[in-house]
Amino acid sequence: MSKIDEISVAIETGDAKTIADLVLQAIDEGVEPMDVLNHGMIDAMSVVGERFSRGEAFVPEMLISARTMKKGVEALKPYLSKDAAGALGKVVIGTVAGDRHDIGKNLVALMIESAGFEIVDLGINVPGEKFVQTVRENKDVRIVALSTLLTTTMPAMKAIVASLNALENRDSFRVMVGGAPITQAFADAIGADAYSADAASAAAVAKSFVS
Amino acid sequence: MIRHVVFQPSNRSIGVPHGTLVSDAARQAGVWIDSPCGGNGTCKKCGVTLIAGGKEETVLACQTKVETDCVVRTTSESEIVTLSSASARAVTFAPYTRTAAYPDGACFAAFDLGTTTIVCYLLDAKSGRQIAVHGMQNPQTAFGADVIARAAYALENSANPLRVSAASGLNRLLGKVCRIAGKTPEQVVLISIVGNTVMHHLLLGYPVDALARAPYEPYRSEKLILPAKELGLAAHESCEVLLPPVIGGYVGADTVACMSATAFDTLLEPTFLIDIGTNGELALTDGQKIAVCATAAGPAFEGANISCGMRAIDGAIEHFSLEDGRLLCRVIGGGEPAGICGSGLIELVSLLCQTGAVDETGLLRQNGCLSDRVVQTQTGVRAFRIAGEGNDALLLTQKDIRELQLAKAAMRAGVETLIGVLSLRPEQIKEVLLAGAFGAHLSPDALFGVGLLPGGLSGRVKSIGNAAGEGAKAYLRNFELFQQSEALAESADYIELTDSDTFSECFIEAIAFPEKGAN
Repeated sequence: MSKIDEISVAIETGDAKTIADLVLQAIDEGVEPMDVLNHGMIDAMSVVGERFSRGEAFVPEMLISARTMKKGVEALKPYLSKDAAGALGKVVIGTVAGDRHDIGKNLVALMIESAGFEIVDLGINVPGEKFVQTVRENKDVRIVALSTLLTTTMPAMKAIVASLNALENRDSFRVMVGGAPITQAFADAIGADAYSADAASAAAVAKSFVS
Repeated sequence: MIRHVVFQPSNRSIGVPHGTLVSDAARQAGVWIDSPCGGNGTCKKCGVTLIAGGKEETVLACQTKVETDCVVRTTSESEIVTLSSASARAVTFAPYTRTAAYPDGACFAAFDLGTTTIVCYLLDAKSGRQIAVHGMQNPQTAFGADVIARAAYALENSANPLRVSAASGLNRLLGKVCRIAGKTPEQVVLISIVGNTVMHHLLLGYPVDALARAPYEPYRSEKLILPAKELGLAAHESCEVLLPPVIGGYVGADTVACMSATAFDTLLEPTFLIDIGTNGELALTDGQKIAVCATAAGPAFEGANISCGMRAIDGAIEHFSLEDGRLLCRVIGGGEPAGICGSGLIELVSLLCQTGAVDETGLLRQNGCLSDRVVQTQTGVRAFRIAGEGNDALLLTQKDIRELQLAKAAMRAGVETLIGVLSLRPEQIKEVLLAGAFGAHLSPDALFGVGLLPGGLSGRVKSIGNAAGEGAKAYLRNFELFQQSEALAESADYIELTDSDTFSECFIEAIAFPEKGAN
């Protein structure tokens, strides 16, 4: 098995203990850092995402694989050139005001990042003004992604989407929403461009926006 | 146009406008239908038989409208009787007396107002002796299974129906417990009520905005003494209600009562107090400071998002064991198993980990002495056959195991966070007090088997039964204890886990099951 394959297996099975060593071994053997990232890690994470979409894998496996990938990327970072990642454009992401849950949002951010985007993570409990300000200050934002876990903060999501929709440069970015209580019908009703049910499909939706 | 609906088996009937949801009609008629998801149509637990025009069909009450006059058959209301006496501190009998003396035959009532279950204890007012106890389903369950679903209902619609529902539940239960003891509610001269912060706020008619959305803080937290009338409770005309304080948004008066019952503030050795549930409450003392937190484990422990899950009522498997490679189970009320409750779920998965049928990552495998029960369903889902054969088999699916992983990881991450906050090691903790009816049915080994608790606490878990209820009784028996409850609540350091840097990492770390032979 090549080192790339070993790295893929480690991501897919969530083996966070060996991943950093495997990455360094691959670099030592002369494997291109971008190949380690794209073919070792991102492809493996996509496999996990596809298994998730088919109902064969569930949130725990996604989280365990994502954590492993994160450790792998950290080990790889010194060897990557600065503009290697994020070629597809900038995505602003955050959990809406009133909600402080970030595990799902972080997973979505990681999946979108591994699909080739640059992530601007505004964190949790983010008010509408913060999203608007970030979009104003970053003219190259392609996507704004909003998350909420609580049914009680769905109205906040609605208000934030409304304020984003009122922006003069609204045509230059897309708005996507997700989280446990969110549905396609809700996304349509509040004027978001897209809804995605899970982290894997969120990455697919993001890619479809820029292709 | 008005349609008439008759609910069986109670034969209660009601007229409702054409197009009313069956679940709303039931609520108006005072018929309880289980509705863990709060009417979203996602949990499929509110199935009823709709009989109209000579046809019978099984429908979801929350998704079906009343179109014609009809009969709706519900599963009979199971009353949950929680009979457990905590190993409570002994208190001197020195109750609150506003007037000189209580009339002859007077009694006190202590309520543990839980999200799922309400328990009422009736005490003799002269001696403080318990004379009756009874429990029932919280009628607010019809508005959603968990506190967030109920708070969301209050925010979107109105909080008043929830307040009325809680009060009527308390009145109904008080009536029943009085009948058992040969008393009347008019003889009840003093009441105490303990519950989590959302239950507390909804009963008092407080706004729940700040609870349901960040900052997740209570509207008011201090202890209260109120006339029973003000809460809509039917009792002696001068009856008053003692309401101990709440600590934080998700650590309520029930946790304060648990701490009072166990004299948690006087313990000199590091001790854990844990209440496992949809909202798991944790308190840890190092002998000087107290740290508390709440962790949203989700309803898996109540069986709500488990395909074969059910509450701990008749028909639920509550206990599993392995004998000579054979799987044995104990069903509540005897009879055929209908599903598994929280304690059964934890024990079963612990056994599956032990035999190798579930690996460290949580994957079901055809491995070990129970491997012949690991099956692939027609839809391609991997599952463990608990009982029965073919289409009637009771199955624990791969997804059910994943749900348990999330729930136990949330509890474990809370445990690890508190241990970290007080700079302790698990080995230093002298005792783990497991509160709640849940703990009473569960073998502590299973908690280590699934990794809900760190192995370093092994051998020191003690189930103490319904400590919140014991605390509620203690407040009636000794008024000074109630007076001190505010200082106790204030001494506890509330840790908001969403603010914690380490919680997410601990949570993800805790999703896997313990390696065999290690923990």
